[in-house]
Amino acid sequence: MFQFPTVDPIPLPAPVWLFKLLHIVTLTLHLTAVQLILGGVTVAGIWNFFGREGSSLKEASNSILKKLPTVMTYVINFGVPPLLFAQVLYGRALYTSSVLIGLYWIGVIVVLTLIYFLLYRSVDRANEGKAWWGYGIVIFAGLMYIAKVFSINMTLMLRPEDWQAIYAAGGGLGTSLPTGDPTTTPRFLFMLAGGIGLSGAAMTVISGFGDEKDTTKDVLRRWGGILAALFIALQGGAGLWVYNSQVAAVKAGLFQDPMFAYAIYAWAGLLILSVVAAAAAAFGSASRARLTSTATVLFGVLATGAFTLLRDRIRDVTLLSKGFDVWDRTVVANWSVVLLFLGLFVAALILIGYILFAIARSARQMALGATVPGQEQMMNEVLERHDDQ
Amino acid sequence: MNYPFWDVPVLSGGGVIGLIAVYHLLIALFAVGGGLYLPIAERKAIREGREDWLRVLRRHAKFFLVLTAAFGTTSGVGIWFAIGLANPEATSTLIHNFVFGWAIEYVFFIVELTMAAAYYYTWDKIDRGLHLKIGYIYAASSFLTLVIINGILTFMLTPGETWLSVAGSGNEASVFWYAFFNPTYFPSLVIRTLIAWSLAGIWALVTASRIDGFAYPGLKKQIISWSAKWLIPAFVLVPFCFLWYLAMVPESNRQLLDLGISTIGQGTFTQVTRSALITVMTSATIIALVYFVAVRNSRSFNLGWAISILLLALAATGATEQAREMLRKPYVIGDFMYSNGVRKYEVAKFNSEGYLAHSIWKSKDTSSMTDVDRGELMFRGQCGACHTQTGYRGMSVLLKDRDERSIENIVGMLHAYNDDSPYRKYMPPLVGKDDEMKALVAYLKTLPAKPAK
Ligand code: HEC
Ligand code: HEM
Repeated sequence: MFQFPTVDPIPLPAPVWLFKLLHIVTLTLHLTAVQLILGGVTVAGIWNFFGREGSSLKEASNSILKKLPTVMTYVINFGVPPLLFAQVLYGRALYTSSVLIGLYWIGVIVVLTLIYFLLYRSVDRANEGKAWWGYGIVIFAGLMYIAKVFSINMTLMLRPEDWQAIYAAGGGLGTSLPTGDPTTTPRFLFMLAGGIGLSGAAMTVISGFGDEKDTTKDVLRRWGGILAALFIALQGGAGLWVYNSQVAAVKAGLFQDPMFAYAIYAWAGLLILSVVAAAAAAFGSASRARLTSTATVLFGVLATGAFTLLRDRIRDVTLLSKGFDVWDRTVVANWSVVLLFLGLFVAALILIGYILFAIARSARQMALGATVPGQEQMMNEVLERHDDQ
Repeated sequence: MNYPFWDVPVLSGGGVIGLIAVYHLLIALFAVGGGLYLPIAERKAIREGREDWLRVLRRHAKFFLVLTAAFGTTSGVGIWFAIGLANPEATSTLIHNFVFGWAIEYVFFIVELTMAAAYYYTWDKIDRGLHLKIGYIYAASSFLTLVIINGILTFMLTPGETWLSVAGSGNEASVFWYAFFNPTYFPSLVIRTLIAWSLAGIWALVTASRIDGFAYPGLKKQIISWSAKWLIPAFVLVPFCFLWYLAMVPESNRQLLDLGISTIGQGTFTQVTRSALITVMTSATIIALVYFVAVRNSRSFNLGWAISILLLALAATGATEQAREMLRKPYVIGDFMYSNGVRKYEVAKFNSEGYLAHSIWKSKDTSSMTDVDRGELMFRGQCGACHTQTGYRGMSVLLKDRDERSIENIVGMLHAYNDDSPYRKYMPPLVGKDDEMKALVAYLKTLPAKPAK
């Protein structure tokens, strides 16, 4: 039907189902982190603007901010494997759409570097007791840019019918950013709504840890719960809009797909569960907050997994309607490499888990033992002693 | 032209890759070397009870974290974005071959980044033994990322006989480990490791330069001298490793270098030699500066000097990359795929069936294209990987003394690709049918800076 570049002559080194599994799992993690950073910067930035010096709102905004550089690390690092697997499975479409918006695509890297750096700078400012919402605006704008470019690329790869015209218009450098795909905007708003929702859920969780004032923890828990309940519900609405924006052939195809139906039910159920849990975290008793907040995040992440699966179905059905069957590949596997990867992956998770556990234990012991009195003075003496030599 | 061509004016797509790559290498190799530097320095400080060192190291760890995370990770992803844009065909080949290599690298990466954050954020908050252990896990995992990526990078220059013998047959996966541990794998790994250690020393000088040398002269001097020692292994061993490396490079590529050395001062091949010479000279300058300016005059060693040393390191890295890039020409994957994405075994097919016949791309959204339009597509697809119109290796300059006859001539030579053609060493064969050659000539004629008379 429509023309795609020819497939790479080297066969797939593992079965399609394995790539799809790895793709969906890692993409779920990426989209979870993406939602956390989008929502985290938005909420913490707004609170930083409105919160007065010394207020709980300000403190809450700073305690969210301090987690964000680490979240960003995972946004990027959980973004890498799905891009890798997407290139393996959909390279013919994905390389093409990336080149067509080449300038904007490579621009992602520039913007990414800038906002990552500004995040660290913002944390420095927060530590110095200064406001950082000015940086927050730039970071937010940068995130919007990146999210928008991703949404455009992931929808452009499904539109082989428009590629020629875009290539001719963009002059080869990829300067024309295609608009007019009715699915792009709803997909984008879907992520933003989910972002605020899931970040709210995460706030309810962090309200149970850390050494903030009790009033601050209260802000995190209540407002986090309210935002989560509200925006996760909104994400449900945006999801319907995404579905409605699909063309008839895709809708029809989706309904013949049993996997799609399961994923829809799972997603809807998980959304309802997380809205309920969020409301309970916000308005229920503080003593049970640990349970309700953990449940909110858990359901939220699982819902992210479910919609990642839905996205995947939409993509495959759309591509199939245009003549690209992702399952139609020769496979020549080298299992020694695959098994090495899987083994190392499990070993790495165990190692990380073990270290985080050891850190938590050691930090607790250190906190109990308190700091050595006069440590500062001792250090100064040491400094002088060495400089006398 | 299977994929649309990413046409970056002036710089060229390859130029974008090169710029990001050099900047990335400087940071990524620091991430490897610095990963070892930090825990070793910390251990020394703890053993000797040097709280002042620990304070400096803590500041260094912060710097290290921000630099490697915000700039190192993003630029690494940047190279990947750039190769996908500039050469999707080659990227696809690499990914089909090595997707699980990358996946493994990625596992080490997650460990590395988690440990980097843990190392910094737990400073003084946990037991020192555990803290050191985190540092060593960081060092090991970051070294392992090098162990993996080195296999993929060296594969591009020397895929090795075993892989080449099955390339195109569909059985590439069966020889994964041969492709990975290819002929230049080990020399290259050793060289990269040595460079990583020396970069750890150089970046540490940046932190050290910010210690107030008049308030803490002893501290500053000790840290500088100790950091400078990290440059010694590379200084002593890299020249030998480089010879080892060259010995593993196929004869045909090595000729590029010999040719350069014997005909220095003119033409293209000297580029390899010239770059190699720049590397040698800048490295020598770095060593001299580190010794005379940093170690001998530590008290007044300031950020300006540290940055100058860093810029020299950047120049050395850039020149080395340039040499490596030239060494690989005309291939992007040695003896398998030319820089423009044409596979060696496809040449005959393109010559008989036509190059554009297999392409779905047009430069204009019209049904009928002129010869110049088709020529432009030929140029984008087959020459654009190495040439721009007016910038880097620009046609406007390279063609300025050529008239139509002489353009036809060079196009003919590139197409014939005779064994004695001087262009064979660095340009791929021009493929396609006769009318496509005519179209290319028609397009090339429009490019010279001033119309040739
Ligand atoms: C693998 C990279 C590569 C590709 C692909 C390539 N070239 Fe070149 N070409 C080079 C290099 C390197 C030089 C030397 C440039 C210099 O001296 O600065 C060169 C030089 C030239 C020159 C000047 C040589 C002379 O003797 O005047 C012309 C003309 C030229 N190329 C045309 C082309 C055309 C036309 C194509 C496409 C069919 C092409 N090149 C494809 C790498 C390439
Ligand atoms: C701050 C940085 C980032 C933001 C805000 C972001 C945001 C997003 C968003 C909104 C989507 C969903 C698009 C849609 O379906 O409409 C997405 C998908 C994706 N992102 Fe990111 N992203 C970021 C960084 C990265 C990086 C650095 C990588 C890769 C290295 C990456 C890889 C991916 C991939 C592969 C997908 C989709 C894959 C698929 O659909 O198969 N992202 N991202």
